[in-house]
Amino acid sequence: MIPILFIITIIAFLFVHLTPGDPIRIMYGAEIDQETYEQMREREGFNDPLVVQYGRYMYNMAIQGDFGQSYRTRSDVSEEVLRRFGYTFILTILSMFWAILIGVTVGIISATKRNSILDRLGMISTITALSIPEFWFGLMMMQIFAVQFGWFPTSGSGTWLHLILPSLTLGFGVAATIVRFTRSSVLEVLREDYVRTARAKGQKESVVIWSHVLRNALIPVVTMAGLQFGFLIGGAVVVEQVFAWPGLGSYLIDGILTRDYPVIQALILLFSFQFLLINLLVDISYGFLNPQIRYE
Amino acid sequence: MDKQKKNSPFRIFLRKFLKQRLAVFAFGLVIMILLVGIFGPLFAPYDPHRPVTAQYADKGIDVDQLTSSTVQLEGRLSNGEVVDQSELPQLQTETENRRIASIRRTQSGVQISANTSGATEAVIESGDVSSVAEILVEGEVPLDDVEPIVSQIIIAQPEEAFSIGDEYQINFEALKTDGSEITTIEELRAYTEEKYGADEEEDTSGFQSGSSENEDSASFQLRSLTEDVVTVNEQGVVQFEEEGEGIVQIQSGDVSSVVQFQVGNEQVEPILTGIYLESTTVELTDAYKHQTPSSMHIFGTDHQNRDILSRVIHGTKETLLIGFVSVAIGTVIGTVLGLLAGYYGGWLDSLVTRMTDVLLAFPGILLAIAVIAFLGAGLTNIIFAVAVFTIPVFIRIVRASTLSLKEMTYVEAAKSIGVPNTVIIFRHIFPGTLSVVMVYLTMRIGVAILIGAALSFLGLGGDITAPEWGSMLSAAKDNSSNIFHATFFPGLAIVITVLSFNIFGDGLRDALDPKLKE
Amino acid sequence: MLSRKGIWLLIVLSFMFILAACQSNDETPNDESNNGVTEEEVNETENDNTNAGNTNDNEEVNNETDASSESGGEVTVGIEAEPTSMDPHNTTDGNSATVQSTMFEGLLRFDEDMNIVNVLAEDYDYSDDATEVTFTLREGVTFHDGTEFDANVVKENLDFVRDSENGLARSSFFSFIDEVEVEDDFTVTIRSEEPNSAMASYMAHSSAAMKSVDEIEKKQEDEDYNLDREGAVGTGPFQFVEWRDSEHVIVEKFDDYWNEEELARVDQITFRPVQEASTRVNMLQTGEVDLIFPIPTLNAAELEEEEEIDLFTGPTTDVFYIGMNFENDKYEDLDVRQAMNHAVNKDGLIAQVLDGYGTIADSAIAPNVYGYSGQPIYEYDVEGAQELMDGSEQSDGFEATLWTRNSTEFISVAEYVAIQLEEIGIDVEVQAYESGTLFDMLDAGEDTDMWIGRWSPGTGEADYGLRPNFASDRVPPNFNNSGFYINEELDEMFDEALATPDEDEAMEIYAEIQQKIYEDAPWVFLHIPDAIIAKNRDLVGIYVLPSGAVNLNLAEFQ
Repeated sequence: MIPILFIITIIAFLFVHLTPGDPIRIMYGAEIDQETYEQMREREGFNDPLVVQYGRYMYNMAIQGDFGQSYRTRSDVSEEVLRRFGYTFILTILSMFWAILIGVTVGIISATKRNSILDRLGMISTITALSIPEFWFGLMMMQIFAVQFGWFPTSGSGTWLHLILPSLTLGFGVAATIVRFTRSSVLEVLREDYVRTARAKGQKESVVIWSHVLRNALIPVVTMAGLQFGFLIGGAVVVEQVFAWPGLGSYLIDGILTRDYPVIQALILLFSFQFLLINLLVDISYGFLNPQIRYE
Repeated sequence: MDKQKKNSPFRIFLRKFLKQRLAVFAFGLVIMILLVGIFGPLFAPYDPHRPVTAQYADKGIDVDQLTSSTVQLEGRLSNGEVVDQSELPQLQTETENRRIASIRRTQSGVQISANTSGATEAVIESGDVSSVAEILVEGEVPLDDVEPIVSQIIIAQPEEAFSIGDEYQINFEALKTDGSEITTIEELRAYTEEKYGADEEEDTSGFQSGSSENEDSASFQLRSLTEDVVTVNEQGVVQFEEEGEGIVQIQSGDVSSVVQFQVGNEQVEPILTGIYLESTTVELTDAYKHQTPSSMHIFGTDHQNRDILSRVIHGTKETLLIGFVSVAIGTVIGTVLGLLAGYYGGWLDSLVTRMTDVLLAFPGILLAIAVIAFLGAGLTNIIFAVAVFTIPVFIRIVRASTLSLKEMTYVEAAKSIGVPNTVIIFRHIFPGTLSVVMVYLTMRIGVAILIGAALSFLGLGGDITAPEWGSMLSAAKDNSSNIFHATFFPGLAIVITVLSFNIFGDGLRDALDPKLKE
Repeated sequence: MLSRKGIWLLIVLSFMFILAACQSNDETPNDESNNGVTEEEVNETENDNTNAGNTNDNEEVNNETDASSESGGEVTVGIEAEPTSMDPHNTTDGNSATVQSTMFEGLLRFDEDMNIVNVLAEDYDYSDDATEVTFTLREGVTFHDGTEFDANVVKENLDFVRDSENGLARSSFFSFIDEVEVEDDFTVTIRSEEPNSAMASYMAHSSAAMKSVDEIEKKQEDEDYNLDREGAVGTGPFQFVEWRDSEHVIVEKFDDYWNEEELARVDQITFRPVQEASTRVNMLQTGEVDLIFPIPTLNAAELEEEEEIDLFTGPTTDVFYIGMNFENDKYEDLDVRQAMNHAVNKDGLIAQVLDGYGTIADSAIAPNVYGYSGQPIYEYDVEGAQELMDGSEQSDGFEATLWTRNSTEFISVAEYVAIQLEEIGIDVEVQAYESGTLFDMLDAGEDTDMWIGRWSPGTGEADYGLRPNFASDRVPPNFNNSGFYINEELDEMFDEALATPDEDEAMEIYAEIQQKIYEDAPWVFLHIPDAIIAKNRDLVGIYVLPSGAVNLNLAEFQ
């Protein structure tokens, strides 16, 4: 993992330094003259060779744990990332909650009432859910529940009510994936011998479902939900933008639009680390839950 | 393979596919969308780049939609002469609510322009005299309960000279916008109090700024402007006190006129006694933007007053282009890499697999954003960005099926008789991967369209003025709390397109899946 | 067993997170106000206790402050974006300037009618040739850190900002100053090499604020001292408390403010950056904030209807224009430029893009700018414009690229103009860039074709409104004549006007300059947007300057 992260630092560094756009102009607008401009470039070290700049960047980051100052607000990037991470974390956790709640419920219903109208409806809804752009779904939710009914604030953060629409929007797509996964997983377990045995014993269907089927069917679902976590964070970029949620996603987009190098660098590193970590955890849990994998 | 005896695989596939009615329907939709993409521009009702108002004339649609009009006005002098507006001194114009309509002086007259629908009044003032025009701007706000207002006051101008001690009863007509008149002082006073009295206590906001000046236009006035020469009582009787020029003003809120008297024999200079408006009601239409869906524009118009239906139709091509081209690039590169990695194995395989793993670890949208941030916005860059994260998907699936096909006896046989590797790969293995590639291709097109739209929506797309679904949504989102149709229809177009591809892909997969029996 | 535990663990965890989320979020809006109040009350009671044994005088003073803080309250303001700095000498954006205006003062300032009024100066005098201006300073002014204000402070401040070694964004703004001389403790003279009758206007600009010399010394001693974040020590009625990114900047009442009549009426002002305009509007409606600006024009209409909300709309000093590159042959012909001006329907632009909240620009500067002189505007006349085009060198029309910033407002204007220019055969492609990138490209000056500009002279007078845009020595990379407009006649007139101490004569020259510019049409003159500010009805004492800037120093609750 370390070498991959190291490569990513180089990519992140090159990425931000080779893209067009000049942070000094972004910071001060047009109202500074050429001389001041040159002074500032010098001061910020933009005139040094790239290798020197990269060295300085790595030194600050690795040795001092300092991700630098935002060019735009001159605030400490590490602090800001930490603060916004909280917002994104809350959003993704709640989205995951919705996704699991809706996904597992619909998935179980579809599986147990296989080939019924409900099942077909469920399947069509999931494929529809996967076809709806998150941002449009968010706008529509906003239009209906915030503007027409006035139940929730349209956007922004502040109260827990602000969290409902963005999290539902974000959870919606993942819910669809979980529905499909739950359905097939439950169907598979239903074919197992022990289920047949339980039924043969004359246990009530609900007991069979709750105590035998779910318990075993949900293990892969949980793993799979973990894997979706990374993708939730990706989706959060769009949803945060729609609902003006002050998380990492909007920080990233703002950073890109204003060429806030330190912010982009820090976030690319953070996201990479996060995804690698999630993948690692998922790999480990696969092996843990299913010992066969180790032999492959 | 055993089925090959009875039927060709294609016929089996076809039979299986046709059984899924939904998928067939989706396939029909896909074909239709393709047709719209190719031929749509030919039958789009309007030019998607120009405001519809500019096109009504060409289309032969006769719509009386005036957004601005010039008000003809003249000044009346006390000697009965009429002067053109260009000669009026200190002509000042103002609308009561600038948000509904604005007024300004131009070389050719006084021009009133509608801004948004509603009713307001325009005051045209020159010195002590002023007139009011009612402005009705048609649009969303209903205009049924707009009361007629006094637009101008015409005071009868006596032609003779007076001498000290004379009395004179002022006669006037206050013309209302509905054509009726007020001729008595009591009535006018009552009218004025009713109309202007109420809003006298306005303007107590806590804002302080230099430009806010308080005019005392609120009340009814009947007064002499030259008190040493003439006086006037509440009934409008003028008393002449001294020789010289006497002026009496009648004011009802924003409307005001004067009458001039010559007391004694000395000739007085004629003065401006009133402003005469040719039309006292100006009717305009708010046809600038955001027309709601109607028979003329079934999807409504957008913030630049362009027909949304036409834009959606024109946007189909671009959206499909993003979907097809990016996935095509991704498929070709991904398939080739997957074939090579799967067939040769070794270091090439581990390198490609490792890269694939890293790329797949990232959500597609983040990867695409990164690529766009690096390359800059634009249609080609979007296509490239979407292609980049399509590649690993195809590498993975093609590699997997290559691995299993490699073990097939016919491949082994080919190898043993010394068929070159390239031939084996493209003759014997590649066709075997084709079916699964086709399924993923269809499914990825939907994803590609979604990501492309998301990029445009985030402001990372190319030409923001282009009729492209994502940019249309991006432009409309700021008004989404007020305007529904501008966000709804482009989004719906995306959903229907992506859904069609997804259901079609689903159907394909099921039909190609050998596990599913007929 | 393990699997079951796992599931439950997950569910419980999710619930806990949600609860945590609800809780933490529930508190945020009230956090500042409630906690702020209680903390202060605690402090006050503590003060009372400690003061109990002191003399009566002290108690009285204490009671007084108690009384005033009772009537005070706290104002929360929703601003458009995060401030970038708390150092006026390093600030070029309006949001930072708004926050700073509560804490900092300069020698002079502009009032609501754009007159120059004395603040830390008691008087000022120009020398006859307008090369010197001498300020008599106010005595008895203290900074928030307790240091005294005197002539030396002025010199230290101006010398520090002018020194380009210090890399402050405003150093070029003060480049007109040749020397600052301390005459005695409370008299200071500013010299410039060229006659400059606008010096007082420059000194009334918000960036000519005075900060404590201690802060400057800290920076001189320690290179890493962050003046932008920490150096907010001025003489204003409020003093800096804290700045938390994306959350707030808090300033509190400064009790020892020199001007007792204009002592702050509220205890605290919290500035909250809220980027999304609709969120700002929402927060005002729910009472989370008391004042917001700017506001999208469509929302303004909606707010106008609301009982509990006051809406202010008034002209600003911003002028929107389409610039064009004179190095490009397309724009050489005056007919083409005038045709372009005639082709754009400014009334329609204001109605459609600004929902009526704007006025037509009838000069290169706005009416609120000192020295403005209106011209007969280029009326919308497509046929006339087409005729002009037909008779010009570009009778076949041409293709052009229009650069715009990527904000909704700018893009809408650009789209509108592009659509209209198309009608006279100019095929315009709109390209949107992030504003920093755009400035970069304009300063490089290589591929410039047409661009949308917005200019507002911070000094409120004609010289800064015109010279940067039209003087020959301001072509790229010097800012801001990005269209390489060269007019030597104007260059001479700019200098002449500045060197004319007599105001009326100077005004006449400026009027002539504006007429020449408007007739020569180096821009497509567009519009002057309104400032739109909305507030809670109970909040009063909000001053709006003609530039559209908001001053909160005398805000109070009814």
